[in-house]
Amino acid sequence: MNDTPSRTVTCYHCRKPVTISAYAISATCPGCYKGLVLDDLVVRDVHWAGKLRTCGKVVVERKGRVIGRLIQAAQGVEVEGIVEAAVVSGGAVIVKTTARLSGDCRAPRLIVEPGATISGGHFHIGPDAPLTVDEITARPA
Amino acid sequence: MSEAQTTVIGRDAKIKGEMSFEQSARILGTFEGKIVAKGDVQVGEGAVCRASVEATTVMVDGLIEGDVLARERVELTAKARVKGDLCAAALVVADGASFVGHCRVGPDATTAEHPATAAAATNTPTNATEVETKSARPARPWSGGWTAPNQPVVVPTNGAWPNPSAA
Ligand SMILES: [Zn+2]
Repeated sequence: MNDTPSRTVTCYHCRKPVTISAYAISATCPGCYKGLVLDDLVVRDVHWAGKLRTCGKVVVERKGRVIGRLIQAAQGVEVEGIVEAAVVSGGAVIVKTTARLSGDCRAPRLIVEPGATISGGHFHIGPDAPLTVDEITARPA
Repeated sequence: MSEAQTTVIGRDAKIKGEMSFEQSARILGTFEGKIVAKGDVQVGEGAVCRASVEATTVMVDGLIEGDVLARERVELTAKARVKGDLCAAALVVADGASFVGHCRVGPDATTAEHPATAAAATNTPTNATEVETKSARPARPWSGGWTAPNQPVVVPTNGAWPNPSAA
């Protein structure tokens, strides 16, 4: 009997669906053999990175700051701090009161709390937002 | 919005040009051009607005193709479709709304003349780094494929996540 609970995530490298155990903490995509981060990532401090990618959520806390090229999270992005990177999210992007977001953004939903600052990036919000990153990553950070 | 002072552009109306309102307006028909209102502008469901809109509050139920400037607030409801640049002191986006364009939101967004200089004014960061996974799981090999040229990346590229307890 095979009733191990499983879930399906989408590989953020090659966009193929990957079925994994519900309890898995890491996985390798069978399509491109690259590793996948499944955890939620929490940024509490200043973080320099090219790309911050996960099949879970990315949370940037109040004192957190992400400077980089790209945040890609399949389940959503929550910003209380500062993000200077493109954001591609499969879930809602929540920009909280204290947040500052500068960079492009693609997400099915956007929630902006009063007081949040968004400075000028190109946004594509809606159920039809493309969740590919080719154009975004082609640009300098 | 006080209903008595609101100008309504009806469902059958097709207007091209520039309109300015001393108070509020509600667009239900088709409009092309430019709208300037001292009060609020509401773009109703089914309305097609190929225009730049400038108002105190802009509420969108329909379609806007053009730039939107709201001195106070832009509200996109679930049926809203906006294509164009958006500039507002505050932004409310309902689930289901769609928006494509540049976006500038914040208390200073509508007053700043040059968005580029405002963005560049953010101060330079220090190099301290900490990224933690939310769960209490132990550190594990990282093979997420970082590519970060020209960036002082402190998170290891092929090692483990920083583990505060091990540090
Ligand atoms: Zn893959």
